[in-house]
Amino acid sequence: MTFNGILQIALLFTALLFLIKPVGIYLYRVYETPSPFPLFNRLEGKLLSWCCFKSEDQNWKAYLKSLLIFNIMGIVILFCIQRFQHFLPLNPESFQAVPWALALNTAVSFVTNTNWQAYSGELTMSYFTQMVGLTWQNFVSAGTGMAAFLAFARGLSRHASSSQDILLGNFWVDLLRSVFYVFLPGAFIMALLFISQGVIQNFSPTLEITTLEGGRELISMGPVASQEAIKILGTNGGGFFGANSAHPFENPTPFTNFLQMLSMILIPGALTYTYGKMIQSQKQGWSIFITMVILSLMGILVVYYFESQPNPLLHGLGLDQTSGNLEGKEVRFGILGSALFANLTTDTSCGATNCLHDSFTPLGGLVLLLNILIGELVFGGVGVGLFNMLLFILISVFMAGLMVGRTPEYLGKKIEGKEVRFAILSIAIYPLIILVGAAISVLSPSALASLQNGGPHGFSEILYAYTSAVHNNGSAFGGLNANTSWYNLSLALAMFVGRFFPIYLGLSIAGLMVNKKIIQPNTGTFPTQGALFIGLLIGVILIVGALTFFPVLAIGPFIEYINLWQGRSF
Amino acid sequence: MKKELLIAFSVSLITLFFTGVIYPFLIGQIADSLFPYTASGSLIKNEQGQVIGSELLRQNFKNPAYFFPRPSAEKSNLAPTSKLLLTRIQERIAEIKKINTNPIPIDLVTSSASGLDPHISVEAALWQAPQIALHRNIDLKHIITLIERLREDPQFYILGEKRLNVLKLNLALDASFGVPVESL
Repeated sequence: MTFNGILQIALLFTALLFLIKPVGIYLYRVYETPSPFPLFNRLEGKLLSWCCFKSEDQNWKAYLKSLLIFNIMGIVILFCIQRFQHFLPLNPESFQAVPWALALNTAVSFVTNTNWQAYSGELTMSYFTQMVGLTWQNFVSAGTGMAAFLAFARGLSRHASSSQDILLGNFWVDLLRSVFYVFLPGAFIMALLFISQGVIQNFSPTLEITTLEGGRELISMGPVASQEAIKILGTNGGGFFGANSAHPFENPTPFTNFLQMLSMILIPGALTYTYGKMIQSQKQGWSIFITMVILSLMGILVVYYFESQPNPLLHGLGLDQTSGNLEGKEVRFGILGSALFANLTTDTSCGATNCLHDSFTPLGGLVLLLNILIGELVFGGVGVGLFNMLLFILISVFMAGLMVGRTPEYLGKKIEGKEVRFAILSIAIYPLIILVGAAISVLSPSALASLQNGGPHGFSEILYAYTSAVHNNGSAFGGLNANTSWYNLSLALAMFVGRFFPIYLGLSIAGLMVNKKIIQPNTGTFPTQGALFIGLLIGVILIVGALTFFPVLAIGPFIEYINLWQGRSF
Repeated sequence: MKKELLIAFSVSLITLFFTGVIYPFLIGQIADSLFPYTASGSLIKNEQGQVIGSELLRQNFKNPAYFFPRPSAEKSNLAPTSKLLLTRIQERIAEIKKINTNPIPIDLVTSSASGLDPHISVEAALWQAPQIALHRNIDLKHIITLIERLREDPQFYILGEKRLNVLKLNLALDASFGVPVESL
């Protein structure tokens, strides 16, 4: 750990802190005012009429139905684009159709904002597939995440003045506004900044060159910057190239690395401010933000410390290990630039990687796993991160209510049995899928054949795969060869359920909460802001989120750590 | 239901057209006029106008009169406890330890995440310097001056690590001291 390293962490969080308020206010204006920009009023009206709908508010069922129909149609279209890419234009390398199991996995993966990749883009996907298929889903899957959050937050914050049903907004309006007012302008600026630093954007075929020494090498090309920008801003994480953000054409300089980290947490962080405005309590918004920052910094410091350590198995070989665990990391980013990126990409549901998580030290890798396992609510994915956090807040308030023995309430609304059951169910689905998926894989010889590493680390590879899929992260312990029918299909199922089941439960909670009467706060009301609440929330997140997985983490990373110090390799 | 499907389809088409077609092509057009060099891959050409590499991508160097980059492993994603990783690192050490008796900087025996890392650490360049001086038959201090001249410092004084671009370093070697004779 170096002073400069700590300074870079401080710089990143300071930049974030300064951006939270302006971006949060902008997002509030986009989503919560009838016509955010008078200039675009007519255009917006035209767009809506092209899409054949009126912007009527929907109840939770209608909102959910629109969301599901749009996403399932997205899977179908993306699947077809991949299967027919050899008939489509912009395919200079003449790639064949993507095999059906891989195409299905990829379609589900990009629609669910997971961007798990069982392929290398430069060897599998045509420019058409990358641009029209994958870049498109990068935008709209991020928009879907925002929509899910908005509906949930409106359910909590809006309240009835009469007996009429209170509605949650219109899915299509939320989606289109996300795409046109938030992600397109943001990605546009980011893409140009990236290109100025060295990210490529062209449509040339792969270039074959003669090197300085006379060797032959291939240089992959493509429209990278346009995908890179939304990959990060929409916390998608699917790289144009197999090497993702480690590839110098995706992430060429320490400055692009900084920008990528900042834009990963920018919108999820700013949404806490937007939420504060929605519930008319900025203090509660800041409390959520502080909770996120504390949890994030805890992870960052642990990973940074362990990655800075030398590998004990390499002692006595005549190596200078002062710079730490550089296997699977790029020199330009160094330990800090890699450890920080890895943390933020697992805090959020981004899953872009600028280093190989598989080659992290056992406890460094453990924290990355844990970041995902606690539910990606430390910033989290765009929209869904705060969505998950709100579920945990409901559970925390419920627990606080149990402790003092009175009916819990949140934002003046009573939380009753049904809401708590739904919230718990949405958290319980994750261990179910992760543990069952990993258990079946461990028992199947063909699934075990996919492992790159042996011993406890091999188990961690499988555990990471299901964790990443069900939480829609998309990063991997990449040694696992996941391009087999078993992994392609089981992980696709995990991604689908992990995305839409919690959204379904969250929106039904919203439907229940929106029509509740407001009770005036009194002395017995548990405050959902301030230090006490932050402490409770962190406690609940760590106990409920992490303790569930303690046994599997002991089998994987912990045993690997002990073995490393005993000098055993596998 | 039929109406919802129609809406979903038209929203899909419109977003697909704007984000998947207009946006990437527009970025491409702007990039072409504002940043033609970087947008096409930061390619370096020789005097004859042939592309000899990209300044962002690692290339192989075997000639001992050139600096060599980090190893490009066939199998990456190895855990710190992996036997394969230990063997690979030991083989690599055996291969290069004759160059310099000082401890080998770790980046020279470990592979990068992309396999395309164009950089080595300053320590790694200094470690290789005596061999370059020997094979080019020039004084070591010229090489060290060159390393100091080409050293890339943290961006804006703070971001990233001190490092050297191997291809640029070797091009500068050739420019200052001539192209080495093929002596492999």
